[in-house]
Amino acid sequence: MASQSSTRQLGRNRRAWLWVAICLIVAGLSVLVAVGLRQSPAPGIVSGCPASQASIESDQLPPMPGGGPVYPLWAGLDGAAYYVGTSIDVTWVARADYSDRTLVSGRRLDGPGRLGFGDSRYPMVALELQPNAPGSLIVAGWQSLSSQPIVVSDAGCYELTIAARSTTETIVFEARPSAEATRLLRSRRLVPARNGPADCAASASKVSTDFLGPVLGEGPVYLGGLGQSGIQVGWTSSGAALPGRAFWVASPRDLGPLLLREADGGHALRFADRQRDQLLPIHSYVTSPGQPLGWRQFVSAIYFTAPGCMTIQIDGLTTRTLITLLVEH
Amino acid sequence: MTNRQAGDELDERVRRAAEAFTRLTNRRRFLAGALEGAFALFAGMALGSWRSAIALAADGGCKDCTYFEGHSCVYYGYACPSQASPGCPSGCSVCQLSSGQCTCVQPNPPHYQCCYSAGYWTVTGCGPCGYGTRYCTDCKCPDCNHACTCRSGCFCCNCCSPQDVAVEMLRLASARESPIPGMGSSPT
Repeated sequence: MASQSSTRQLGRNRRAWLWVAICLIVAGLSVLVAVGLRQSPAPGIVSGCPASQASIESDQLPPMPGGGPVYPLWAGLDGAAYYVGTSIDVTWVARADYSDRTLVSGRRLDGPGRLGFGDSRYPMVALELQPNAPGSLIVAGWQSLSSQPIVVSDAGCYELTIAARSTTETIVFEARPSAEATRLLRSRRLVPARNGPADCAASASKVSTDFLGPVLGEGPVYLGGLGQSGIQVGWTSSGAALPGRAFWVASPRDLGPLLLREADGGHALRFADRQRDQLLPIHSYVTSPGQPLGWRQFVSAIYFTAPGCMTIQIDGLTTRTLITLLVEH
Repeated sequence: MTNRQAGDELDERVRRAAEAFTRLTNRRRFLAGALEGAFALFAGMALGSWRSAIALAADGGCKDCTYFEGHSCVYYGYACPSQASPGCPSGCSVCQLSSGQCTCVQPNPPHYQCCYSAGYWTVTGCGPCGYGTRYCTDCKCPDCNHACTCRSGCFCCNCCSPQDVAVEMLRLASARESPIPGMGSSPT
């Protein structure tokens, strides 16, 4: 009898511990779910903000929000525009034949806060856009009207009103911090690297910019500073990785942050500060004569640590660029 | 052992387990709180110097014109012009794009030193408030073996408002129009 009672008790104990374990697991899962729910929504998901649709009007420009005829081009995705500090870098564009003077104003829709233009510390309440300024062609068929940024209070839902002589257009967008865009880029997968020189199709320079000479690649991001050949980059073995000056040029097709990495499996490249990746921010502080509005350039460094075929993968919010270099002794 | 005793024992074990769990979570909460506090402390400290951090980040491109393997022309013994405009030292020439091609190949690793059509680029966001502008000019002093870059003086590095910029521009314009020799140079 005692033995039976002891066995029964042991069984009860086991069941009880099982229940405790189950309860703990459920509690743990609940905590995880709660933490997940409390975190901000994933980049690209706009919640509760009736953001305007973006459409592709030119294959050389990013998707444009609103119905025109004046569009703000920015670092954006799925109705969100990403800001740094409190500024959204904007290139205001219209078709080349657009000739109306235009006034832009805006407001916040989902709470207190303001929308302004220009200097983030002294924002203007409205922005006047003058078409047909000299040298304002951004790409074929499109002119840039201004590059004045939008200034927002913080993350939230905002509305722009773009008024011209005969049209008034409103654009609704969600302002989100650029860190979310960066997180999104870092989650992108790497493409496989090429293995050897035999199948190495090195990028050649097919574009020559007026402001930085020949640049390598198919775009929308290009690598300048390596000359026009680009097919073979000589490499002198000195036992040390030496830097070369690299000029990264981004066309207006992608106005967001850009993440530079070597393709998966490659170990022969280093970027600035000898890092395995480099983030080019939304805002560029560098310009040179002849550079159209909307184009960005970054003066940086590139290190070759070994000869071989190497592919640089450049991820943007809506684009991916691959630039391949054959580096030989 | 009776059922009641067994039940009591089970209750006791569950109570102990629950207490241990509570202690653990409390410890974790305490630890998390401490970490949060530390984070808040450092975030606050960081926020305090946020402007200088931005200015420093912005100033990165203003500090050295990204010479990398190259050098400032000062390295070759040439003093860079101090005014806030593009230019090379006396005895040097501007190194620039020629017939659409970059010039002055540097050997190791090979890359071109001079790819800008006008031989210079502009860096903005300089100075503590970010209103400053500098020019970086590629130079040959006197040839490609001595290719180097000059950083100009700063326009408006001390400006901290649009009004400051306007005043500085007016001052610069009037200085340029001034007939007095030597008044044409800008502040550095």
